[in-house]
Amino acid sequence: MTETDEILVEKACLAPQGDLRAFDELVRRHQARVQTNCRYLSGNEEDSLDLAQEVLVKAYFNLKRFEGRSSFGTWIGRIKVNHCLNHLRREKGRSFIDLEKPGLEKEPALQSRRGAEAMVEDGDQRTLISGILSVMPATLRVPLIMRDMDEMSYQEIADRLEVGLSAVKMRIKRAREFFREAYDRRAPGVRKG
Amino acid sequence: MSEKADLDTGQPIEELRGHTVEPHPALAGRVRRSINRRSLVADSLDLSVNIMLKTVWEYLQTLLESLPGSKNHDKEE
Repeated sequence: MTETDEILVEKACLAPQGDLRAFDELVRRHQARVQTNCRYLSGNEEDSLDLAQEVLVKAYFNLKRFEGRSSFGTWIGRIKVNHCLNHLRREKGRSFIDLEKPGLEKEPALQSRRGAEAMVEDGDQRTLISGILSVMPATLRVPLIMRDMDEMSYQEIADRLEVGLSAVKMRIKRAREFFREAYDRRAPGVRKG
Repeated sequence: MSEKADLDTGQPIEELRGHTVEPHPALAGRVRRSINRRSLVADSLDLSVNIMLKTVWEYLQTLLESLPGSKNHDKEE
């Protein structure tokens, strides 16, 4: 029988030092999700491996603080979001309040890397999504990921990004429009609903 | 619009919910090594602090014992 995440956390906490078997299994289960979100939150594929590593290590050393009030996936998701947002703030040297400025999407630092458009053209579903997210400005992408991948509430997103609730709702609405348009443009007829 | 209803966004947004990239094959190994390294550093630091405290304690004990009026000092005389 497959053990639940909660049981694995308990085992990892009780394991003698150096015995990482239970935690290894947790890593195996959650690494794809963690690395995916690190990649899209940071907007940088090269940084995503380092970020995912730091998030998972941080989770290990804080395992005893996991109280089981939410799922392990949600708990590690919160660590990941905090870690990636701090990384973004350090990297950009500015807070998300600054990112609120109108027309900021045009800033060179927030533009997608070269080749992202080519990824979008590629056609494969996974690559298509990656490509669209890569060309989406950070101001729209970050709240979209927090809402539609991490399933955080609007209020929580507003608190983490230090922006108003209405601004968050507006950005998510715009991000979804951006995503839908790009998706339809690249994969016409794929949409079911 | 309630937050619950808002989560039901339909295609293609719902694709995002299950979307993951292939994790880097080295990630799990890097995590393990980093944990082991940090544990080792923490243990070494712990040991160093303990040794230092013990040394200071021994030194103070010796110092106190050598003071005039202390039991050991009187015995030696």
